[in-house]
Amino acid sequence: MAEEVSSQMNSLSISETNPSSSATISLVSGDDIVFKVEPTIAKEMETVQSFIDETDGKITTIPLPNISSHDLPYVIEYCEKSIAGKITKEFEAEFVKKLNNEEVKELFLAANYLNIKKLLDFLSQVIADRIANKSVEYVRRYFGIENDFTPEEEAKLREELAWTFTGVDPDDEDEN
Amino acid sequence: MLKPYISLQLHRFFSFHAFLSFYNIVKFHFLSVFLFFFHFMGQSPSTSVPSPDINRRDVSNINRFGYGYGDSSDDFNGGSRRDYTDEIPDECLAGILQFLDAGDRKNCSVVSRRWLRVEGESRQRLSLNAEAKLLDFVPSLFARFDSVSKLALRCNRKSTSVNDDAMILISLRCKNLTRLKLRGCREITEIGMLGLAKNCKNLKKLSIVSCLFGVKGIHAVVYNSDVIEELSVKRLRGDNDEDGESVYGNGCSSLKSICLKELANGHSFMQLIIGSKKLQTLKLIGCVGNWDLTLGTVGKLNTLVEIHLEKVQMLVLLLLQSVARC
Repeated sequence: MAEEVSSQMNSLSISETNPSSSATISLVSGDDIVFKVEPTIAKEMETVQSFIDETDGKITTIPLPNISSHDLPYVIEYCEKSIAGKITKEFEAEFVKKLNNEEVKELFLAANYLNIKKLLDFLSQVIADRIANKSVEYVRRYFGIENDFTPEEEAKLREELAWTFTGVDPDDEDEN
Repeated sequence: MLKPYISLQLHRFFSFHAFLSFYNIVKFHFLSVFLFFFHFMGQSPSTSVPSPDINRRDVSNINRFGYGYGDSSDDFNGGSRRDYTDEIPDECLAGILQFLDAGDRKNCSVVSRRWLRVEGESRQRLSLNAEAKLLDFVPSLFARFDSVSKLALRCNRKSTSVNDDAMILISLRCKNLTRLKLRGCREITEIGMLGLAKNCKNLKKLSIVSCLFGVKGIHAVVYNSDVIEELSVKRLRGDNDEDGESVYGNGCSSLKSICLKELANGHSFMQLIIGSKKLQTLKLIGCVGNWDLTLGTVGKLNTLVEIHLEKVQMLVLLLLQSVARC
């Protein structure tokens, strides 16, 4: 069944004789745009790589229906930088500047789907920065989350939460 | 007041239980497949087959994977109404939360049931207001925060703090506690501390400020622990302590760091300090008493890397000897 095309990442690696090791990989976005990338890029995308491995490199055209042609170039750009060892704070700052909230979320889903750990970590930080110091309602709106608490539950929850401190624990400052 | 909430918790547990077991089974497949074949899922009850073995694939699905995607255009960007977090696994959600501070985490836990659960499960560090009424909330709080390993209980001086019952209940709920800080928990006695020592066998760091359980309370923990590494005690009084009360380890003291501040009964710790053969750091700040003998002995330890003294009486010669050996 579909699910059995499993995501057992890293369970196989390309052997040197693998015919795919030199061929270009075609990534097809959800809106049917083909992006040709080097096999090294595909390696960064564990989901893609495991698919290539599973088919012994015979299939080099990979459909990525969940990723649009708008978002895929960002992912590829990040992977290229990653391979070149050029993921710096400066690059990441520039990279994130280009992205609006929608794009950050789409890229986060793409990074998760493709299983690119570095990108996922980076975007987790970006999203955290964007929802930090915001209201609960803002966070719900940001992700499109429906509040599934009843008002009573939420009130109870807030009462309970009032017992937790949020500030940094003052280590040795005298208050007692 | 407490009872309805426990039942709510149970309800929450069971309702998530089904989801969890489902999720545990499919999570191996989740990343690459769940989203991709979202539209096939309705026809695929086989998600209940735990098959992480990639060699056991149905060939027809390769074709689907390879060529069938054209049908899935309907799923692409399923419209703005979707919940983005539906499509990310709990680990990724926890991954976002880990970059947020306690205040933002608190906010995020109120977002939805799922966020509440994920935030609770992934929370390791918790700081609670330790006023007496906290006891009523201990069961529900620790049902939610079931992975806490670093806990601080703080009570201000004007309020009555939690007592031994709460301390013992918390220690039973948080058996994996590695760090505990008690501040102003004046109602806790050596009985509560003994409960802590017995229940939290992994406690490595204990920090006490302005408590009243005295030397006996510290002794209860230190004597019953094989793993405690750091002890910090500041302004500890002991109404039950008799003269000459002493803290000592259990013979194989694992303590690497001892910090004593503003203690009137600092001399009660001398035996513990001398008995701590693995000691690396010793800080004595504003502790009355004569520390010559202690420091003279400690100075002979080869493990020692730091001695910090402030406002401590001793002979200068001994200090030099001790320091010279570090």
